[in-house]
Amino acid sequence: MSVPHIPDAFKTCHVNAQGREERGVTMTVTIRWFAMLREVRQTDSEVVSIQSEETLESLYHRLVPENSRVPVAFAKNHSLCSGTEPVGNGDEIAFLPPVGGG
Amino acid sequence: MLKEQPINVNALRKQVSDPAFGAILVFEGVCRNTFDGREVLQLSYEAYEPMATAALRSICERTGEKFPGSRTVIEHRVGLVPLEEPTVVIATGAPHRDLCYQANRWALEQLKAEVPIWKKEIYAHGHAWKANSTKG
Repeated sequence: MSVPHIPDAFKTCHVNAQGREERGVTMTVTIRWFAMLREVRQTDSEVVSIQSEETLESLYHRLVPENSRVPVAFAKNHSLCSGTEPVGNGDEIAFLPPVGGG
Repeated sequence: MLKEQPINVNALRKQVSDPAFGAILVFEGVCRNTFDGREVLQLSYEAYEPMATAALRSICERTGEKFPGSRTVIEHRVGLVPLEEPTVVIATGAPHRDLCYQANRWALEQLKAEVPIWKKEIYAHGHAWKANSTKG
């Protein structure tokens, strides 16, 4: 009896699904910082390793000390989204403080 | 849409000029020298450029849809802006003045509420980031 053929695409997914910690694959996102948050982080952009099950909101809380936090809108890959949105490898994340244009 | 150099107000006005328009309104938001009695030396703006550009473009399109027959264009400064220089210019053309005033004002309020641009007031000693009031 022959072994069922496993499509290559499935194999790739399988590796990625286990890859975060078990295989030592580091997943990262690029964070853009603005205004007072840029001053807190002392950079306008940085690449950060992400943890499994991490959301935009949990990432914000992990990176910005409580006494420096301001209310923010969340953006992923240039689109506004909920703080409960999961982050994924290669995403560009931005935490947008209250705006002041005009 | 976002400008690092001074905004050319006349060029923006020309973009909304049309033989069918009986009204053109050019609003300039300008850097002023005080806030709550504190002397302001200059302003500094920064933007999340891809999102800010998309938001400004969207506002111009939505203004045209909400006030049919009008046309609106917007330019906003980034970087340092000296006193008396425009920080934002919104030009609107419309067949009639009432529509023109409404469209221009609406576009400004949308900009203040939703475009990812941040303003820093620079004083003789120190600075402060200033968010827009949600009260309009």
